[in-house]
Amino acid sequence: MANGNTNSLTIDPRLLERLKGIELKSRFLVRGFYENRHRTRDFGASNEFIEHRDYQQGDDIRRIDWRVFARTNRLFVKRFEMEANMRVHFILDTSDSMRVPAEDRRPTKLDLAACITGAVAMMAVSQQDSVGLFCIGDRMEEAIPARQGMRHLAQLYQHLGAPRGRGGGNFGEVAWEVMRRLGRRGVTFLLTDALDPLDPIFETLKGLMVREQDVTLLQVLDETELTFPFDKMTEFRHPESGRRIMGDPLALRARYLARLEAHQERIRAFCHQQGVDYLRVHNGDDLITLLSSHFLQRLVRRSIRC
Amino acid sequence: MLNPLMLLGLLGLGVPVLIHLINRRRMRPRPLATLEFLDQQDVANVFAPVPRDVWQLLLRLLLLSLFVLLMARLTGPSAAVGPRAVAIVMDNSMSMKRPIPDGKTALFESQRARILELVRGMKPGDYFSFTLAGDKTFASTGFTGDRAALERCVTNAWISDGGGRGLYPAIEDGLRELRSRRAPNTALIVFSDQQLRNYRSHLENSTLAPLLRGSRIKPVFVVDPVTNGPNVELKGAEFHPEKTYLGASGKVTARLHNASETQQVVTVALKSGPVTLETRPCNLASGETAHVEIRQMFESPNDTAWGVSLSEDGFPADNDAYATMRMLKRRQVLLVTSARYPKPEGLTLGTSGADLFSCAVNPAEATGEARGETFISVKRVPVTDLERKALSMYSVVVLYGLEELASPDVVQDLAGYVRQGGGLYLIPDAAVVSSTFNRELAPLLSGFQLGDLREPKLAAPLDDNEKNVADPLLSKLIRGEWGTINDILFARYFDTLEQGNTRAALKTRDGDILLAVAEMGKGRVCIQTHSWNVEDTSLPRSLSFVGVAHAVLDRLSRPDADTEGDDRPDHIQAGAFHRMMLSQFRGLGGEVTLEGPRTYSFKIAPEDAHITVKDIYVAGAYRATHSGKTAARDRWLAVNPSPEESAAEFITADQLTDLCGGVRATATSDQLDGLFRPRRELLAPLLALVFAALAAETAGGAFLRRRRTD
Repeated sequence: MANGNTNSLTIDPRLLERLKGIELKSRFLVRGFYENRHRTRDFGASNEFIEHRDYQQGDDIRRIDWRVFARTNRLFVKRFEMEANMRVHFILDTSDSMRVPAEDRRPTKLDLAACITGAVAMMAVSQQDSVGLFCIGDRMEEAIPARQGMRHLAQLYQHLGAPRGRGGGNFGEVAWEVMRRLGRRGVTFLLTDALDPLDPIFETLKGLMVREQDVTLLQVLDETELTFPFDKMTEFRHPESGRRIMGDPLALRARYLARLEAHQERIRAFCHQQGVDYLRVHNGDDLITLLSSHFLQRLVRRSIRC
Repeated sequence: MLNPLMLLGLLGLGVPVLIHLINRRRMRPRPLATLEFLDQQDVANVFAPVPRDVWQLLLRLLLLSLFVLLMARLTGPSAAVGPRAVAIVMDNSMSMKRPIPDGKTALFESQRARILELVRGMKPGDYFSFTLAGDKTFASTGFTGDRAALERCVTNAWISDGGGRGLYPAIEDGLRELRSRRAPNTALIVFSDQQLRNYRSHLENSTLAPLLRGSRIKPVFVVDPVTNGPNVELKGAEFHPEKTYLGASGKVTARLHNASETQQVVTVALKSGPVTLETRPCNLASGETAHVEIRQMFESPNDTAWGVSLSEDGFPADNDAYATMRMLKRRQVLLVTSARYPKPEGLTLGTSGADLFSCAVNPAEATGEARGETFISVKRVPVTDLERKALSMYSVVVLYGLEELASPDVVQDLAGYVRQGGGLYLIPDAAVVSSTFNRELAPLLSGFQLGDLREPKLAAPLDDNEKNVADPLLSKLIRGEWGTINDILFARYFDTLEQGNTRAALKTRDGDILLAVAEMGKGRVCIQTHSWNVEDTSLPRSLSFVGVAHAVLDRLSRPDADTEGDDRPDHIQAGAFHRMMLSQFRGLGGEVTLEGPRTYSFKIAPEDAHITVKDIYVAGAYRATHSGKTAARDRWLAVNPSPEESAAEFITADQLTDLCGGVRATATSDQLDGLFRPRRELLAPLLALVFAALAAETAGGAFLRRRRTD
């Protein structure tokens, strides 16, 4: 299981080992700068033949299909599919609601999200893809553009070890701004507890889908938020707004869980409708099993679609 | 009846509120990111007071109130006296022997009968304790409902001849125990003659008042009238001297004090056991103290115990005293002479050295005038009788003018006698052949050897320089403390060939040894190089001769094993500690029994020669015996009653009231019946209410909790 704190990022090696052989693919054609195995909309020099086109002045004569010329006496050039690398972006919610201390020495939601980010980033880098990171509190705190290589990954890990960010409550709006900077075609992971107003988040997700981004919403929650296990009179405080409520949890529990379930159902329904991958994790989950199965299923889905 | 201090517990009703406030203040807010799913309206509903909460609060407060009342031991009126807890403390000091007005019965007996009545009147649920205290607590039953055991203990109560120092502590202990009893009717009853001396040191700073404060204990100091008739007290009796020799007389001094307000005539009697030996009338004015002396001759070699008593008076307990007399052993000297020195007949006093020596040791005996008063005697026998004598009977054996004995066995016997602690004094005369002396008596000489007989032309004077002698035996002679030594000359004496292991105690001015001393086993040997014959020396004619003879005999005398270190008479006051030396029981171990009015046993360690006597509170003469040595010399311990107990000074009712912190605490024995009012503790109904309230609160709480959870 991954574990982390505000100063360093610790990822369970077993998680990395399980994710190592799983390919990270996008359901869309990607746009990349370097040659890689991901299909793009551009034409390039791969082995995948696409079509013949009339020779135009300026074309590379090495691309002329001399066999066709011999049969038809016309100059055609062969066009091949271009394969490029993929840009993977992580939009990480670093607001105060993600920093709520967990019980029983478990990782906080932010630790868990950072750990997942680090593991997936390792997946991407190991298959020569570029990774970028955006940290969002009540504004965009950090913006690390997507790059390749282990040095970049190490830099990313440094930031994940102590992600900056405070406040919160407007994740959807800030994520919209981030979305506009991402450009088209790529893979994007949103890691948030999704407890802020959902409509802006949904708008952002739609925008990303329009930009042909393969989007995954990773909702990270604390187990106590899901089960509400308190049994003594407690005063609760919202970490971002500071609002306080004191009450008997035993009396409040049933309605709380009902409202939370409705919230979750709304997210699930939206993601299903829009084709957004959705995964909910909490700090009591077995992260190794959960992530590995999720990415395997994702790979299968992408392969069938392709 | 209610314990008012316990009502302070009602303040505990504020505790739930206080706990709520403290908890509220200390509650740390828990961060919860999903707070928006908690509806403020739900919270408001949770905190809304409902009738069930009010009932629950009231039930809780009722529960607390009932518990406080239970702890306060609420009592209510009843048809009969409820369970009683009574601590009875009885004084058994000697002053309780004072008679009540009927003149026959002692106060102790009268009050014991009253206690027995109380005990026999015990009902089921009553718990009594009985404590017998004098100089210490002699018996304590603890609180019990066993009437038979209490009766037995009261019946076996006895009266001591000691004081009442332990009475006040016993009262304190009784109060402390009573405070822990929960009976509604509690009382402390003190049966005593209430002598002031038992309370005096506590009057200024009473420790009873704090114990009584805030409790429902009823203190009762029983004050019964006693006869305060004319009384002459015997304050004590001692012998002077405390030890004497057989045949000598001593006097016993009795100290009397007339404590009554009129002139009294009493008869002082000296008793040996039940036999009255001598009486002496005495006329004492009021407040007068007198010493009465009675002379007594001691004709038994054994230690004896004596009683001194007065004729009957108002307080007979202080009319007896006891004293012991230690008998010293006589010192026996065996003077063995050669045939040249026959024992003088009749009253004739010879002039030989042996005669002069006998005379110096005991002139009266030597002249036939002794009557046994002397502590030393000389038995003079010819050398032929020596082997028939039991040497162990003698402190010193003197061989005068002898160079050989009847047989070597006699010499060996003598050597053994010295090694076992005996003293041997060798005095050769001019007729002795030194070589024979050295050879025959060699086992006795410790290496000393006589040389030739020397007859200087001018008689040799004594060396008056103490530095020249190694043994200080005759240092007083050398210093001239017994008279001048200028006229002491020695005309004939033996040279010294070998000094051996001996030390010179006397020398001539020329350095010749005149007297040498040697240690031999446990005993000592003195070897003289001259005789006491007047032809040999002028010493017997000097003033110093008696001193020299006794000094030498003192040094040589075997210490009396039976009386070493324990020649003090043993007399104590009742209850005192005493280290009683009993050398005759050394090495026996086991127990020494003291038999007298009562019998006591005390352990004696095998390596010790003493017992530690304690806790003897009955006056009288006690004889010490040991089962391992029945033929041992008699030893006696005199235990005398406490002299202060005669004082007829009693604490007043006001003083007792002050002692108890303002509570009126005196009553007579007859007033004890109406001590308690009929009240009973409301324990059962209160307990039932508490349990009912507890059950209701629990059920209500569970119900509310279930409703909220659902």
